[in-house]
Amino acid sequence: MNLGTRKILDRSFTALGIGSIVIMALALMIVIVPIVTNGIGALFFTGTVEHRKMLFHEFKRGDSQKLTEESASAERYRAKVYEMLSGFEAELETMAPEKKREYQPKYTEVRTALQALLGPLPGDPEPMLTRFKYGQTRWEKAEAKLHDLLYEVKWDNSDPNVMSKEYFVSRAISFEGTSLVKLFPYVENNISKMLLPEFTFYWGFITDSSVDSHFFGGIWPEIQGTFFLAVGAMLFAFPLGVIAAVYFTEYARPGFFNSMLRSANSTLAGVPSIVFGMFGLAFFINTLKVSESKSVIAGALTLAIMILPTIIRAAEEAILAVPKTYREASLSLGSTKWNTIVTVILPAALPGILTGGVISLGRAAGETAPIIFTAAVSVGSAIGLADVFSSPTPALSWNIYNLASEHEAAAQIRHVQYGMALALVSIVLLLNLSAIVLRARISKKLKG
Amino acid sequence: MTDDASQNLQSSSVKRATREMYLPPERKIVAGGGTPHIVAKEFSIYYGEFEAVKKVSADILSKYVTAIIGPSGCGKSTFLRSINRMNDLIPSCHTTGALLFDGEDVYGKFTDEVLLRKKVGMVFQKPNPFPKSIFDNIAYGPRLHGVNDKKKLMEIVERSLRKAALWDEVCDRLDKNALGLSGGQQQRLCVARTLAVEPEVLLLDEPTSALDPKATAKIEDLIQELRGSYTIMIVTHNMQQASRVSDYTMFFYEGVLVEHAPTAQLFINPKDSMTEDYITGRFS
Ligand SMILES: Nc1ncnc2c1ncn2[C@@H]1O[C@H](COP(=O)(O)OP(=O)(O)OP(=O)(O)O)[C@@H](O)[C@H]1O
Ligand SMILES: [Mg+2]
Repeated sequence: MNLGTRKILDRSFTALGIGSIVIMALALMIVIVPIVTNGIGALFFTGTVEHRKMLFHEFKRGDSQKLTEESASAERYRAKVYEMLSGFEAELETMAPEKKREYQPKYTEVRTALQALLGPLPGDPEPMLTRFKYGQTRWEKAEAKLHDLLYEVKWDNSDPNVMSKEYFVSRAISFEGTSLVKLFPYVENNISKMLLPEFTFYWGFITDSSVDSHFFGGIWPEIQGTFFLAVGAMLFAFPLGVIAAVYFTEYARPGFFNSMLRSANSTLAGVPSIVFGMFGLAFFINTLKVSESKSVIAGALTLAIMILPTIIRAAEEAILAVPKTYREASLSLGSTKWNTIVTVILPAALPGILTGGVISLGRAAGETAPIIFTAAVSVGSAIGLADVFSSPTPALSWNIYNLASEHEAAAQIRHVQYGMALALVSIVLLLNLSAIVLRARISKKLKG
Repeated sequence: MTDDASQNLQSSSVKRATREMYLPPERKIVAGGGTPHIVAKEFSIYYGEFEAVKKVSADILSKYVTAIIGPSGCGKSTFLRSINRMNDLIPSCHTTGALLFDGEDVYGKFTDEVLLRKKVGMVFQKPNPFPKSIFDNIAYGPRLHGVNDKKKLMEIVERSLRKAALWDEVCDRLDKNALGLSGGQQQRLCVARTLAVEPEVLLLDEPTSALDPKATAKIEDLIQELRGSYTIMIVTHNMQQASRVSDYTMFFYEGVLVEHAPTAQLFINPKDSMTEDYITGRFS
């Protein structure tokens, strides 16, 4: 091959390499950027007075005097709305029966929209669910609800050949000629005075437990559950994995038994995680009965089995990478094999072993399937350390899935779901980062 | 040098001149009796089927320096490493015949190889300090054998480093990582680390092959200093070095111990023509 072709080949390969890296980075951006921007929105947003009321009543947090003043001020503007409502209700009574029948359902829609916007209206019974006790706590949601109040959705299916199209009709028009027609421009113009939007940093999103299945409140139970599960899995898998790796590298005699063990280990690494979930249920809960039903311990054990092969692999590689000369030096000084492993081999292999460990920890934190049957519940409070043997726990990975698909009001609490995704990504990223830092520090210490 | 010229060099007068060049004038011990410390009897070492060391019989005398020379691949390292059973690390390696240390069979069924290695220290061709501090490197052996008292350890560390002529260079940075030392310093550190265990025998496998002349001289001085208190065996490719530092020399060729004699005798008046060819540089 002549110089020219070689250069062209080199260049095209470089271009290919850079290209694939760029594509990977772009794909990563496409995933990460919405998670970050939307997730941040769970912490930083424009909150309304309803949010502050909720915080005060559910979490006993906030400035009670300021809240009283704010409520009073908001209430002054709302009072006008309530007045118009009662005025129209009175007018409704005086209408001819067929007129009344026409307006009654339309009026109910207006009331519902107002309830969603401002919370229970005067005369409403005390709602059972917390989610109905407050109006919109987030300003962008309030704006959407305002739109619902002002406009009625209609579907245009005049043309049978195309899918019916959505269009909006102003509600004010349908109330033309009644006293209620003034309500719409009034609410539109005074909505911010009724809700008092204000920039909010809701740090409680990290530390609060959820209220009314994630309608309000934070994700602390999920964070804590994830932490318990991942750390619990590590507590089992890390020592076991390192011991197994030491056995494979230092003690196992090459032979049929050994190669079978090794291939079993590799196979285990490739088993889909849902299978581990089923296994965990069948083995830890039904057979060993580590707990009555789902529990943190059962989930941690299942995750431990799942990450064990990775830890063994990483530790094995790290141990094999320790220069033979260290072993020779130690043995030649009259050290026993065991002592050599503990005082020389393992310390030298530590960076690699730890990296494998932390990456596995991140994986344990992020896996959903293994904990579905063994540990996870959708909604729950943070559990105490003593309860890990008996209670299940909410966890980030499972609840992201749950909020995305199973939750009855998934569309209304997207910000919570994104917040959870961001929390999980941050935790895993943080773990990996700490692995890198730890590795660098230990390597530096080893290299002098 | 052309082939013709090298042929001419083989004339006997040149041969003698070459040989005498190896001998420093102040060499005192020419030959002498002594108690055998290590005894090989028909001792063979195999790597699987391959016999790397063939039926070696030799007495290695206590407190003398014995050099092992021979062309590359002739089994010098293999023989040396068999004395403290470092060959155990190679699964395919096994031995026949007998090797006695202090009259006891090194490869006996009940031999404690850990205890043996404590008595037979080794320094390797490439310096191999642990990735720990200088102090911890030297203290590694004593700690293994039960010394934990800080003051006592410090004493041992200082004594060993002084013996290895390294103390002055490192005394103010004992807590620094040993891998930060130069190659020569690292090698002397390895010697000090071995000395700290207070072995009876010191095995040196080409200890200076990775070092510059200055560091080499220091190691050689060190051997001179330790001579008389330790039984020392040194593998070397450097004939001058062998003649400078050793009392006895063993010449191996393809696994066979060709000649084993007092160094002066082996270099001036070799019995075997193969030895003569080797030390005069006919082959390497
Ligand atoms: N681990 C091993 N497995 C198989 N054969 C080996 C092994 N180590 C060494 N040998 C062989 O044994 C013979 C002697 O090797 P040895 O290392 O003792 O030579 P040496 O004299 O020390 O050579 P050098 O001067 O190059 O260090 C060589 O032929 C070598 O190929
Ligand atoms: Mg060698």
